[in-house]
Amino acid sequence: MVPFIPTAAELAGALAELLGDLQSELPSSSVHRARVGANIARILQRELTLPTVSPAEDPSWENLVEAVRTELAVVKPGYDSWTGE
Amino acid sequence: MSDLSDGLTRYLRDEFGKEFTVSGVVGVSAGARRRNVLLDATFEGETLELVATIVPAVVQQVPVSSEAGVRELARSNGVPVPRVRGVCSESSYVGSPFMISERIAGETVPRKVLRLVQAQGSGDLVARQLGAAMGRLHGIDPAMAPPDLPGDPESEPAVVMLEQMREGVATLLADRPVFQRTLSWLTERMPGPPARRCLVHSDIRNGNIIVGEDGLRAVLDWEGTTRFGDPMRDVGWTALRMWRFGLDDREFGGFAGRNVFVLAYEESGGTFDFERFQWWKVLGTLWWGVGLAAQAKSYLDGSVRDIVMAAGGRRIPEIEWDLLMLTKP
Repeated sequence: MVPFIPTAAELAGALAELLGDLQSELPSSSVHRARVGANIARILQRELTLPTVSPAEDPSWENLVEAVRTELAVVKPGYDSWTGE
Repeated sequence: MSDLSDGLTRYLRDEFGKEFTVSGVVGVSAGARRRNVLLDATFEGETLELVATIVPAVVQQVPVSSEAGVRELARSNGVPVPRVRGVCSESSYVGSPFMISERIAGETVPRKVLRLVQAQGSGDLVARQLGAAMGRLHGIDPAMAPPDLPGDPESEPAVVMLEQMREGVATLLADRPVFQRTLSWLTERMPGPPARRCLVHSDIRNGNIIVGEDGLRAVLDWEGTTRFGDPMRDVGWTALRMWRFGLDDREFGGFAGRNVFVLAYEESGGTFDFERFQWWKVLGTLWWGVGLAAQAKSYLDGSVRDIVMAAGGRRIPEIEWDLLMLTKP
């Protein structure tokens, strides 16, 4: 199948930009939800772009760390830079 | 807001026998839970700056009179809490029971709190004040608190909470191995009953406090307070990573490190127990993960069709990361 243009990831990015731009025009009671919506759209953009990884068969601490790192790359890039408590 | 203004005016007249003029009524938070409303009440040229906390029956954890009672108990023991000016258990005035408190100026939004603290250079001060407030709270005899607050002097708080978490993980997170691993970690390290049982606020954190230029001004949201709890549950909760808002090397709320908090806590009568603190910190992190999964479920089953609830599900890997870092082999 020939990919749509724009791709789903590109449209998710466009949606994130739209929701970001609208925040200054929204009543204060709606800004937080718009920000969350923009964040979700960015997550979708990454999810549609980054390769998926199969769950670890051996749930050792090291394997779990790697599996969670892969998910964080989608939902919260950089969160794994803090390795303290 | 006119119905609300009318209801509050009627309440103030009936409660205090004075014809207050109510103005400036504005909601500052509203959701499925509680609703906070600012108001000014003027009588004979004097204006009282107040906050009404309206608690719909569907989300009421304890009667408003009990919440007000424990707040005043804490305040009388030196914990900074807004003074309660009125309690109404009836729904006839504003549709639900409510409390009226004095209004305290300052920041409550966590990132704004941290910006203010950084501008003032007051991170250590706020952490010390939080430690001192908690030490004083934990020094109160829990038998003095209103009896309908939850808590049992015979039960073991860690056992009760871990069982709740087992159920939560089984229901909502059964396919997430980090949560299963964490339950095993907690089970192997059960701390036993605390040497001293105390009043546990259960949600003291950056986000439930008022901070001004002079530091901590008030601890808010007392509806989850329990009696006969483990003091390290409160200390561990305050230290979770999610309340640091990016300032990860400052364990307590993004304000300061552990030593600053603990020194003030112990100077105010608290006893810090590291092993127990770690256990409750892991439990609290897991508890928040179960809460996020519950938020996502509430969106998916249609009970709360709010995008914020849906987004909660995508935050679960953050919790898993925190759990793994807290439980390194």
